[in-house]
Amino acid sequence: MKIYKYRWFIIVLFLAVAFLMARNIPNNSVDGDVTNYIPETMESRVNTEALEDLFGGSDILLVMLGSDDIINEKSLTRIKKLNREFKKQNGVDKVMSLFEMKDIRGDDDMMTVDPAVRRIPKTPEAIEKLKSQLRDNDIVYGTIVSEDFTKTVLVLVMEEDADDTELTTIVDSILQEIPGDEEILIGGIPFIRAKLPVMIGGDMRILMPAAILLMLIMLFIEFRRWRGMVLPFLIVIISIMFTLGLMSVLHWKFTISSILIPIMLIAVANNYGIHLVAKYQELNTADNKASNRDIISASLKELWKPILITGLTTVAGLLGLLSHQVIPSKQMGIVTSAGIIFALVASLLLLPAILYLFKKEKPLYTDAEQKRNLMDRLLNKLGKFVVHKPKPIIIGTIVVTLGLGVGLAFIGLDANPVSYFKTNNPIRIADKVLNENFGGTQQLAVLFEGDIKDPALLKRMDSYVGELETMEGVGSITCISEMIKEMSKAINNEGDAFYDKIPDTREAVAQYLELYMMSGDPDDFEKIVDFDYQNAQMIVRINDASTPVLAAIKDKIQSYKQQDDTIGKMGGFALVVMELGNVMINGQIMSIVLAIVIIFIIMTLLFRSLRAGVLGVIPLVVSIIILFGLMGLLGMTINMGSALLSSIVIGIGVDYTIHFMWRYRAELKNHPKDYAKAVMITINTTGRGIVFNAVAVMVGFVVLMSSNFIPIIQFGYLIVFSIFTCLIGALVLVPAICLIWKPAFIEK
Amino acid sequence: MKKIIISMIAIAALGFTTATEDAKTIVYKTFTINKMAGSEAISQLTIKDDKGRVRKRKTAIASKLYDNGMTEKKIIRFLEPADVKGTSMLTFDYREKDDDMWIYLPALRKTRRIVSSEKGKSFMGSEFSNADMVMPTIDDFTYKMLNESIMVGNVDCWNIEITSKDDDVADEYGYLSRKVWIGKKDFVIRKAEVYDIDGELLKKMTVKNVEVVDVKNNKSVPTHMEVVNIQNGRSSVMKMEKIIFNPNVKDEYFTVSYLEK
Repeated sequence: MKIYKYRWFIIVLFLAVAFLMARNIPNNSVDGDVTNYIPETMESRVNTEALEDLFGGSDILLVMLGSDDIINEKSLTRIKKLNREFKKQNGVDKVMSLFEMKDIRGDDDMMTVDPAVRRIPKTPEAIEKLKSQLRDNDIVYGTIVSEDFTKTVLVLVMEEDADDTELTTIVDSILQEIPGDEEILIGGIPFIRAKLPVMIGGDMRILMPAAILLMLIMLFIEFRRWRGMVLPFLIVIISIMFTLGLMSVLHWKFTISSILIPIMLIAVANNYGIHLVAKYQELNTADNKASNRDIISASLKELWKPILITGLTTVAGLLGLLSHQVIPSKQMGIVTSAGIIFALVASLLLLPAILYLFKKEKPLYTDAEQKRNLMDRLLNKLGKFVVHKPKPIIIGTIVVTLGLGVGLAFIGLDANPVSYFKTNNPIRIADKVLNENFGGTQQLAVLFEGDIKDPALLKRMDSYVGELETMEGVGSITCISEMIKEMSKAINNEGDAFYDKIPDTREAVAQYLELYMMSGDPDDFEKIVDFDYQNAQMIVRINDASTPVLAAIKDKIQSYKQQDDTIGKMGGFALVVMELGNVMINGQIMSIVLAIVIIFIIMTLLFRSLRAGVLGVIPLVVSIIILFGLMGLLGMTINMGSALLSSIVIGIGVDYTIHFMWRYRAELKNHPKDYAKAVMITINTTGRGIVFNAVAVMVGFVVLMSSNFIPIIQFGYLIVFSIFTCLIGALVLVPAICLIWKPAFIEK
Repeated sequence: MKKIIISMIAIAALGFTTATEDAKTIVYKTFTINKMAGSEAISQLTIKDDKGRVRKRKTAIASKLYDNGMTEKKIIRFLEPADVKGTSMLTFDYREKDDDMWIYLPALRKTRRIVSSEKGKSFMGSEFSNADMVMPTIDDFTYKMLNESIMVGNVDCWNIEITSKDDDVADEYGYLSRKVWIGKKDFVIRKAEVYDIDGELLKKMTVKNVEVVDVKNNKSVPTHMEVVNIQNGRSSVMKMEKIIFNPNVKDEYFTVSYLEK
């Protein structure tokens, strides 16, 4: 064996590559901005940027203060101080609060323009008077102060180039410096962008060691020898070093999906080593007098091919992720594939090279002892069941698959980053409260191009506002037609013909605007209309950013656009999230199709038969239908975690079928036409390896269930479940099909 | 009443020479001494945004002093652009109480009295603010002589810093402090810098031309001013195309009923 000759070279080479790559790991950074998860060329991103060029940054950070009654001297004094401090900060374009927003009133032929809270009230009478003024102020009631006066919000509109982390840190310290008893909640996309990297880092620091520890315990239970523990462990560690280093080398940033990368390597990359060590122990019995070197060479000779093939099919499944337009998913497919290939090659070269360095291990069993454990008894029972009931197994599978398949119709989609967080997470709580009481935490923007002072255009805009406001998920809407109506209420008495209406002439519009200029700030309109009144932006705040709700809103605006050519681009974070959802679904479907096609081709080539391809694909299709059917029935959604599931399940799950078919073919050669015996032997021998392999993978993924993120937790449960179905598929369904179908290729 | 007493103290202080009192007096005189008994003017306001886009406003202005100079009444009527032509404002600038203001929108044939507590408002959407144009409540600020004699162009000036007394004043006027360069000969501001609530430079104002409009009483008026907002890149220019001294401006000009004509 050449490996023996070059053993030192191999050892040095692998360790050197791993360490060189690992040196880059400290350069890794985390990207919490969901916008970067879809390609720069996607419509929503292009449009959002175009709109930001016209109207400046659109991100909002919301700081909410709550108490039994927020309209009191102490709280308002604190809010006023906070307002002043927030306004000073670099990166804050403007602040919208009770002290910044206007109170424009018209009564008795008099128009009053004041800040919504002009003076902090000191007496109960003054408080009641202020409350009644706030109730009449459409600009703040329900958007800046909650309708029950228990909460108020300071909305920080951020500059385009503001640093999220820096700003949220400053906001935190300002809140400390200006203390008070009010409950504080912070929300908005910039806050999520700032917190996500911290939480992803925290997740990795806990989940990775936990998974490694579980793996070591499991390896110890299985092998009871240090070689069995250390060698697969070593393969896992160097492949993690290689893969995470590769992320840095490629300048790819960590995202929520990246949490899965090391966990997946821990779960999967040790398998190849485990098979080899298991074989080594199987051959290294007290009765075997062969040398250490011969035992290693014999193990390798017998196993290199199935190890290589199962490794390649796993990579094939993962490369299905390349069909994703979701950037982190695609990147994860590539680096994890690279990591698996590295682990695969290391298992076939490095692991034997190290084994050669040592003396023969003390045998664990004698030949006679090997058959006595519980697992073998269970496998023996399973084998008998399969051999005696192939038909009920197939019928049962069809029934279960079709039954659960009904759930496919109910499966939803959720790309909203807020849904990453558990329901008790402050971010999630803040988002809920802010969405329920104020305009909403996310937004969508619609561009209007043309003569913005044209009353016809404004009236159309106004009718869209009226319709959109009744839609689910739409919070407050800010646009120029709303401001003009606000002015019409200030300049006309209630009951007048022009009160709360867009006027009929362009002159009247121009005069309202001129009047506003004299009473408000010139940059009050900055976000909603440009200097020349050629472009206007309608800002629709969204208080339910789940994908179907957004889709309905987008469709509605699209329908306006078809009849109204002044409506231009549509952008905003909410649309980016929606587009992310769409590409996730497309990627999901494409990656399933791609992975299954690749697996079909590999199986067909491997066994030189199309039927083998079909047989290999059946348990995968069954598992995928059951998986997504169950998700639909349980109300789970396709998200940043589950979008990756199918590719990984297919890549890993097919291994068990391959292992089974590989041995079954060999046993049929030994026992021609005795299908039942071949199945029994296969289940009792290779079955053991398959079960252990699957358990190892499941144990690796189990830690994900304690992640901070819902998509990752769900991924944990779903992957364990799916690996289990694939395992059953390989050990029960595939043999049952083989017994009934008796495919010719196996007997070739 | 308070304001009157303060003004009297200020006038009395003219005779003293302590530096702080001096600075305060100079500022007081700057905002009072050049008030004309009456005037008529055509003014062109040009507002430019950071991308160089321009809005123009042409207005006709008439003003007249009443109550021995304690009240200045002013009417401003838009001439251009066409869509706001005829829009008019009437203001009564009282020395001792909040101003009265009416606005008339011809497209709606509506007159409205406007009440506002904020003094830092933009003037017609420009970078000039109302606070730059009218006399501040003199006791809301502290005054510091920065330089007794400094040349702006070829004009010998005092350089005085005017600082808000407290945060509430700063909020009301929309700035923390101003540095002004006041011509010694005519008490006309030649240059000013406005510092925002955080003390950062917000605007720079320069006077490009000053005319003696009322020759007999030696009253001077800046007729060409430019202000640049350092923070948002916008700028505005106000230019008097024509200004005449006319103490006999018709009183009926300064009535709500004339506004609607």
